[in-house]
Amino acid sequence: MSAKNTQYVVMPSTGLIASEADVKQVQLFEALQHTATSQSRMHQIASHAGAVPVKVLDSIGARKAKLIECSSDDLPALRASNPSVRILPVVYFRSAVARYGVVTAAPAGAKGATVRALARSATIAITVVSAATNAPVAKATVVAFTDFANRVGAQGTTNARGQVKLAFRGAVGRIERVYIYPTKSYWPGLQANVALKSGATLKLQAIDLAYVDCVRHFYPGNDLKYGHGVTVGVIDSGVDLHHAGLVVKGGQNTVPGEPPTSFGDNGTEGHGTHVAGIIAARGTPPTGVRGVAPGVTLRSYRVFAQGGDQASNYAIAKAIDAGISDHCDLLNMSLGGGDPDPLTAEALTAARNAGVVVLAATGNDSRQPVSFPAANGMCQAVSAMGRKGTVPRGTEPTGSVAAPYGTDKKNFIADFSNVGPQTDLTGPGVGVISTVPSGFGVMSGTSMATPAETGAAARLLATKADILGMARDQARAAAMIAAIAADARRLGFGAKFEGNGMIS
Amino acid sequence: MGRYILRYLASQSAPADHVASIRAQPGVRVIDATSRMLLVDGAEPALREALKQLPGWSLHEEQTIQRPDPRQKTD
Repeated sequence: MSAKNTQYVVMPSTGLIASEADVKQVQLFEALQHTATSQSRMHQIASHAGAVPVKVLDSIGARKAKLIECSSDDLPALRASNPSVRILPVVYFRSAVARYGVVTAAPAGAKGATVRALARSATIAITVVSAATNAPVAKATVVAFTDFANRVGAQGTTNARGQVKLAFRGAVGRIERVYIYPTKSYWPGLQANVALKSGATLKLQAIDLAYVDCVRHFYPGNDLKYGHGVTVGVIDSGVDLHHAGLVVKGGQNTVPGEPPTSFGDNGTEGHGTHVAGIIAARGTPPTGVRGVAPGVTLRSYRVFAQGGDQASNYAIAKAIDAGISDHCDLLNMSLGGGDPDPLTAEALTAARNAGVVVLAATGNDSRQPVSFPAANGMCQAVSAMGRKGTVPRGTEPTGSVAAPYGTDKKNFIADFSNVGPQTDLTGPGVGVISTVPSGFGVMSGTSMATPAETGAAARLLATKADILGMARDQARAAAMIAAIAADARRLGFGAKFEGNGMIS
Repeated sequence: MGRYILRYLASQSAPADHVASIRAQPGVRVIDATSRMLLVDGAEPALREALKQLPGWSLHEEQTIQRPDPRQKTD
């Protein structure tokens, strides 16, 4: 074992006691129980990467939870090779001591002139245009930070003439960062340390659909047959049913009060359409884009209300159940956040028991712990990585470069990506070109990394007829997870950042 | 009163008599239903009491999550 030994709790995949119906589960718990009472307490657990040494520190009972210690580097292999158990980090609770927070209207200690400057306001009018044609870019969101660390600044959306007025609280000197997010057709822009004055023009680069972004770098030349025979459900904001690059075979809108057949895009930012395109877009550059597994049968499960940005646990659980009923093999959940929810957890367990593998995004809170539902042991949690040289200079994704870097120093874990011991996989998610309603756009996030790995899992499983043909039960899901883990390759970031690595 | 979700934990559909019993509870309004779940508007204590007579169900408060948006924002 390495120096990075960590304590974990081993539990059955469902319930608190190993089930007699699962022979492998019972054998593992009984073997660990035997070791718990031995002198050395050391045990070797088989995995696809070889035997993993663990120390069994304690046991609640013969077929009940075990406290073990092992290298955090071994955790992904251990988890992937033993899907009938949950291996959870030990959690420590603190007393609920109330702490005082401060709401800062001005920096601590600010006096006199600083406070008066903050009390003033300044409005800067700028125009956003195409770098190539100078055509105005409408509906672009412009976010300008005077203090990026404290998220102080101003933001607005461009009108039909590409103009936006940014109203700042306080005098404006240099702008630390300006982000420009177009709805489609252009790369998001980023300028740092600029003296922004009224009348300034900011230029955006048009998207070249033949550009090799990070997804196309790691998954190039995708054949239209890749993923054939695998059904993938996208649980998201709906998928544009009229996009020329997408074929949606079916789905369901699970939002209460809305028509079940309305599983197209919900009229917001096109998040679900972008996710679906990364998996299954069937276009050909330079007039379209190609997903990682264009041959899959794609289904859309809309959980966000029409025009809304909130999804309920009921809609999500209903979508998971629908994906099970529709015989999906993989479910993509590029969503998350909030407290762990027992209802969603029950639905995820039902999916596992029905032979369905769920891939979920770790979240975009900048190195915070893996968010729910990705943190749930029933999900394959996907972090986001990027690669230098796969986004144009001066565009927003260049701001996501951060340590750690991989064995290949051009690879990095995106600065926004959440990470932790629950991470199972990492995928390309920085500056990804994909479908959006009525066009193409660039987005970054673990939301994008997850469908890249869902697509890669689909095209891998399409070659595993023996696994796809298994009865739809927990053993099928376990075999799928084991195949994914065996195929994945680590990129040198470390286990908590990449789990078993990227599906090759 | 609040919105709650009742989920039948077995893999098959919920028994019809169970569903009828829940629907008949005073003050409970069913907003949406699937073969194994009910989204209802009602009082939690009454729902918990009703489920004591109906084995195999779990009760959850409705929660929401935000659509992921990795774009930078001002506070």
